[in-house]
Amino acid sequence: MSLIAVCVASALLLTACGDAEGPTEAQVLEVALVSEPSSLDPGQADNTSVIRALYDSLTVQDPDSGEIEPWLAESWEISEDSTEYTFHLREEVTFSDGSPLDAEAVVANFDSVVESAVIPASYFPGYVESRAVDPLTVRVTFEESNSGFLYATSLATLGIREPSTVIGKSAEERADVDSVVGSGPFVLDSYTADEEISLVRRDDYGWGPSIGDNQGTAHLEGIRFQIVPESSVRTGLLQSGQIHLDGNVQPSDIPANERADLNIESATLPGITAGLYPNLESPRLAETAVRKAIQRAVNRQEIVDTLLTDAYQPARSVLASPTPGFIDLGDQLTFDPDGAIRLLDDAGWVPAENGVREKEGVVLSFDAYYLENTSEQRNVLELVQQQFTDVGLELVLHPTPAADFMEILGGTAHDFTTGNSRGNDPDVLRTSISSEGMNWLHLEEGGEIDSLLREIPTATDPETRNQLAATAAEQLIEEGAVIPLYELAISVGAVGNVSIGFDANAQPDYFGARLNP
Amino acid sequence: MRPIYPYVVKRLLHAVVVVWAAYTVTFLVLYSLPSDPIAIMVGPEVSLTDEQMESLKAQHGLDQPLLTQYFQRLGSLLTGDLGISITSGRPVTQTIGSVLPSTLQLAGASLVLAIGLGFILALAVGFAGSRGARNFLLSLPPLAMTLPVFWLGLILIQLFSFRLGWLPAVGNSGWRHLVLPAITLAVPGAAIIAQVLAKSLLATLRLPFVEMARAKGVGRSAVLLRHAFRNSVIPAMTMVGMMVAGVLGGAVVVETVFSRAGVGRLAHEAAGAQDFPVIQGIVVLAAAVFALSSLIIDLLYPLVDPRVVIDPPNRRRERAASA
Repeated sequence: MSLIAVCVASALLLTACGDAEGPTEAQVLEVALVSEPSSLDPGQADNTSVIRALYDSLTVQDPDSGEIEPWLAESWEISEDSTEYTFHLREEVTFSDGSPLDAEAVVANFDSVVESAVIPASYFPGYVESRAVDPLTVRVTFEESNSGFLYATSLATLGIREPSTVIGKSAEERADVDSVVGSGPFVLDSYTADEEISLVRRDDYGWGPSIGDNQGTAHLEGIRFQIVPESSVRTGLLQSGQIHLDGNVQPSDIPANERADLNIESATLPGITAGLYPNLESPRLAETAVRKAIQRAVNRQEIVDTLLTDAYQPARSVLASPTPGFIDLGDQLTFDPDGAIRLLDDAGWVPAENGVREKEGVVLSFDAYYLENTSEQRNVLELVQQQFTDVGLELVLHPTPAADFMEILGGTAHDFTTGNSRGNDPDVLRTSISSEGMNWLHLEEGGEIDSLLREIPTATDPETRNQLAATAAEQLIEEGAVIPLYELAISVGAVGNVSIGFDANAQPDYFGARLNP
Repeated sequence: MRPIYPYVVKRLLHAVVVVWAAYTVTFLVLYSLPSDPIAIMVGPEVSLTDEQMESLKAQHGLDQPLLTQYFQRLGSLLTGDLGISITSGRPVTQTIGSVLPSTLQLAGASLVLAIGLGFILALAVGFAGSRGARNFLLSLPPLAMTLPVFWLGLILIQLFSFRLGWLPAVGNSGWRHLVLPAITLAVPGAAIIAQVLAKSLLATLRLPFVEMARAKGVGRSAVLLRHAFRNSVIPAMTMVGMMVAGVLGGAVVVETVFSRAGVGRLAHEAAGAQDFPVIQGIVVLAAAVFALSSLIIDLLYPLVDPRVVIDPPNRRRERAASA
């Protein structure tokens, strides 16, 4: 080890005047992220928190009310059957290269999304066309009712790109990092793959979302995102003052951050709650009594108190509380192990020698397959495993690599998968659970719940959509078809002089962020 | 000496065959897997229609029968086109090319450090006066091998970046960013080189010719550096040749811990996302690098030890003896 010391000593001699790298300019926010977006094309990115700052959308969703409000579109009309949308655009919006953002630009973007079949194409079922009725009016037409489209226009994934970067371009061409031209409050200054993304403020920006009070430029002069996969390194960078914001704080890092007097800002993720999703075709889960017993056997409060943080809440429905369509069904999801045992006893499930209940040759030993994204996942499932054992059930855990997960979901080998889904719209229930979506539960096509879900896109009135989702959620819980566990939260760690909030999709709002002196 | 060119040409052709074989085996394994990289890329939260999925598949050429895909891709490979990354949509050559310089810097710096540190430690063993000192020094390489690379990296970051603030913890914009990662990656390599070279040196020092030299009055250091060293360095050179390929594997951990973009980290992410074209591209690159580096090492042997004859004439492998 003396040789290492020799090496380091010589390095030190040469760096004698150097000090810790720190934010150099006062108004550039230094952020550390666990990974970079898989693409800088909003239509192909797995994560849009960076992209949101580069591209604007037609509308914006208010994080508090869940209502869709004006942004690039000042107003809009929707036909009675939700097949035709007419948007009236703001005047004098330009892209960062000076060209105007007009109706033709919007048409080009929507056409490109559908033609190149990038990810947001899923929001255009039955797409007929988009037309520029006049320079500031766009009409989008669908063959069938598409009531979720207004919500889709608020998402960063449908951010409006400069037309020449998308017209006639394949998905591969859209992904070119040299074609990042948007109308957003920041522009791309430099990009080093897998290391750093630098944004610089656009000084002639003046068309922010209507829900904020800022109608001018962003407060920050620039943002520098560094990709730092190791969470302990991100925490260290934050604590040593080398960055302002850690964009991905895990629950296990929070105590360390709090000790160092850093701020943790959290937001609850709208969408489907984290939970166990049963394969309803499994023989072990055929009986409602068994499923309802499982719902009561799980102690959600214990999970949250032991393993997670204040930001996480026990689930009170299959939807998370900020989601439109959420109703509080928490009284059906209380911890009641005695009730669970009674249900199982009454249904004739008798514990065998090893404590696991069985009846007529069926053993209540369940195989759960999960994506091991974070260590929290495994810890939570291990706690649930113990809670299962207390009532005479067995849970066998199978960590699954992402590559195999989709196949498992479609197959018959599993009893449970874990999952959650992001989306601040009732339709998220349909895309994940209905037989025409991902069908997590293996619902039979045309069943009662399935039919309710499939009606959502055709219901034009937001109240009706919310009602359908609420009724479907109620039935899912009553029948024990879902085992919700907790509501997910996103946490970011910030040094004291950063003020930053979250948008309606629980992403950090860089436009409104400030670095206070 | 005979002209070396026929030998070099033969070895280069050999390298091409190695690369082709690696490519073909990887292709068979990857493209016969039952999983669906398009589904993974799209993710579990989005549901596209079947036509949209088919369209995406066709864009990546994944809808063709296996044999057609093989020849199409092999053909593209010969023209330097490695295909498109399924995850990012960018050309594979660009994806790998943008991170390759970073890995080359890291690999180069750490190899130089590993060789330097290894040689210094081994020579120290040779110079060691007492048996106690020698045994202590010989115990250092095994100790270094027990240190997990990522743990060492995190410790160095904690100490030199977060506590003392002397060196940066992340990024890659200057030689200062190279110091800690290169040291971390060099430690296991240095340990191996030190071990192999030290043992070889000690064995050489027991040979009769060394006693002769000492008897003639040649000083200790001269014996060590001028006579014994060249005779014992061959095994260490072989290790270095093998380490060139190993650096890629070790680089994954170092690149993750130090947040550096690089081929190792790219390989790890591509494997997780089943991004076949990127995995293929990296395999081809690694095979080519390995084949070339073993060629270079083999060409260096006779420069170090004149007894080694590469590509002897006829089939007699006798070596000329000399003192």
